[in-house]
Amino acid sequence: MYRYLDLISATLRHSLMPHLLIASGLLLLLPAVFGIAALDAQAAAVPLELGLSFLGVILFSPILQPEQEAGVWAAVASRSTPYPAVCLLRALLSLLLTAALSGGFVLLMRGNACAVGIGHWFGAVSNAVFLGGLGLLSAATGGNIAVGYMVPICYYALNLMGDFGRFSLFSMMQGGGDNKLLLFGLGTAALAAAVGLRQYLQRR
Amino acid sequence: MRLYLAECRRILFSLTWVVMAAVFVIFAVSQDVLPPSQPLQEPRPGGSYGGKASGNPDLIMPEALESLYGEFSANDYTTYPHGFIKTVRLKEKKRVQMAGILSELTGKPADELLKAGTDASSQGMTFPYRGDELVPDEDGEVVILPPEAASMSWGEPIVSLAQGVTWDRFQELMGEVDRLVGGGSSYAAESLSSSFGMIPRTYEEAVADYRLIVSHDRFTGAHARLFSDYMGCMMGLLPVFLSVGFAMRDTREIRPAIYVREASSVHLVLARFAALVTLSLLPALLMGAVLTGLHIEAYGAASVDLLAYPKYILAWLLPTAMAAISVGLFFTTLTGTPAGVAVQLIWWFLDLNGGLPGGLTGNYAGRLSPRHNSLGATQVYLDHFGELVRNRAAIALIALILVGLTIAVLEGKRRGKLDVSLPRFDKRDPKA
Repeated sequence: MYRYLDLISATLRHSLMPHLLIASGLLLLLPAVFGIAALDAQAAAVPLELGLSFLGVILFSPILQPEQEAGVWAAVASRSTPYPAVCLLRALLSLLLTAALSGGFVLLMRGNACAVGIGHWFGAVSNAVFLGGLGLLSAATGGNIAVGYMVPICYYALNLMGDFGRFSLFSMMQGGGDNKLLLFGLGTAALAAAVGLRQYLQRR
Repeated sequence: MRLYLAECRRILFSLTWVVMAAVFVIFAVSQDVLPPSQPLQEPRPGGSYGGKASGNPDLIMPEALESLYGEFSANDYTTYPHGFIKTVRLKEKKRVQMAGILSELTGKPADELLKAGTDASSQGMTFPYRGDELVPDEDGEVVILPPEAASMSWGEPIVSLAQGVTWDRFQELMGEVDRLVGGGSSYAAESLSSSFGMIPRTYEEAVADYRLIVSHDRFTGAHARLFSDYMGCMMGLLPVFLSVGFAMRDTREIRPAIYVREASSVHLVLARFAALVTLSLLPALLMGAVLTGLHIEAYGAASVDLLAYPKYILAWLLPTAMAAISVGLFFTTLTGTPAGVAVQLIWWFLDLNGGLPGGLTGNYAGRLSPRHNSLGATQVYLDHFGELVRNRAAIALIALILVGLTIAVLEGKRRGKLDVSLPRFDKRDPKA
């Protein structure tokens, strides 16, 4: 138990803190870019879907980064703590932070007379998990963090300029939003697949 | 040259480049640029030829004033400072300033305008209800039947322009309005005509534009311009991943081996920069070659400009690619982190959406990726050509400055005089 608490503490101090600061910076930037005052439900989805989606790229994509260098991987692989457990813990931590930051932003919007509710919060978290899972899977496949950032951001950019149907990140803005559970599920599956793939490739 | 070719080989056979090239192609296909949706045809009489901003003060001034008064009354202004909707509510001091502007425009006292407030509800369409429009439906609920069209009437405007307000003064006042609401409103100088002065294009204007496409663009020029517009949207972002990915491959273990090499920092950085630029433009050049073939088939080889795509890619897209790559190289070399991705993402996002109020055609000034989202509109392109040239030169200059700074940073690190590290969040002594 203490071993896992140590893991959480080490993750926060060594690898997650810079990303957490960038995520916080994003939240400070969003009100300057988007209006978050007196918006109806559909307009309120704009900053959430367009802005908060990046939380996933910031907080999930770097989960596998500490072990990218061969020497670090060798040290981690020789430990008794299973590597998937380490990654799962990091993913849960990132999920908690994503949920907390999104929740705080939604509450801020609610305080600014925006018509937001729990559906908006879940929609923002789902987008973040989806893009984060996509990024992590790409990083595991490509073996470098640049691909891990590139694929989800390209997905976002292509979706911004085209229609992705059930896989659209921007469904709430367009008056829908019933695909968020699907995005959450796919993102979670991608996270799990990324960890498994990384372990398989490293052991080969 | 050897280093440049070695870098090109490394980049070309990397997953990052393959993904980038695939995204370019997917995007071009999704936007109906590859292949083009339809060939250009001479306009026929009796059709619809789109709209254009008239720039006619007699049309713009009353419409803009009506809109402004409506927003003032509700104290609810819709703006798009970065391309996304923002609702602005003015505090009392700014509301008084706005009333002063409206007072000059309408000739009414500011106090009267401030008191009117949201009582101005009779603006626009009115519906005279007699009472028999309220009827129960089969479920027993009461519904309102729409009135007959004949009984609808446009209400008289609540405000009209005061005598003696000139077009120049009107534009100055609208500029002040835009500043009061924080920018991005329909009252900004670049938005006034497109927001309040749109009129249909005539057949003669459409034919004149088509003839210009034939004589000046020779068909492929117009297609290449639209291609560059779309590709520019992605060229402002994708190359940064390539440059960050390759700059980050210089890990802590490899850096000492690179630093002691005889090759100068200028040589190292320029070879890498040139290779990244070449490989970033390669997908666009290959698509351009394919498209030229398709246009030859559609219009005939004698009617087209065979070099239109390379000319537009080099003049239009090259500075954008240079900017994205130089941002990635500089921040990665400086910090050793992928911070360049975040910086470029912000620049790209604000450029893509913040330019929307200026329109999607002929919008060249201050753009990372100039916009010309029309097949044709050659006269607009020619009218703003100087602006385009200045913009491309400025973006290329910014890129070269960043490359220069990258060289300086690398040289500093090689000599051990520059050490930029992120703050630590643990208790260990970093020097231990």
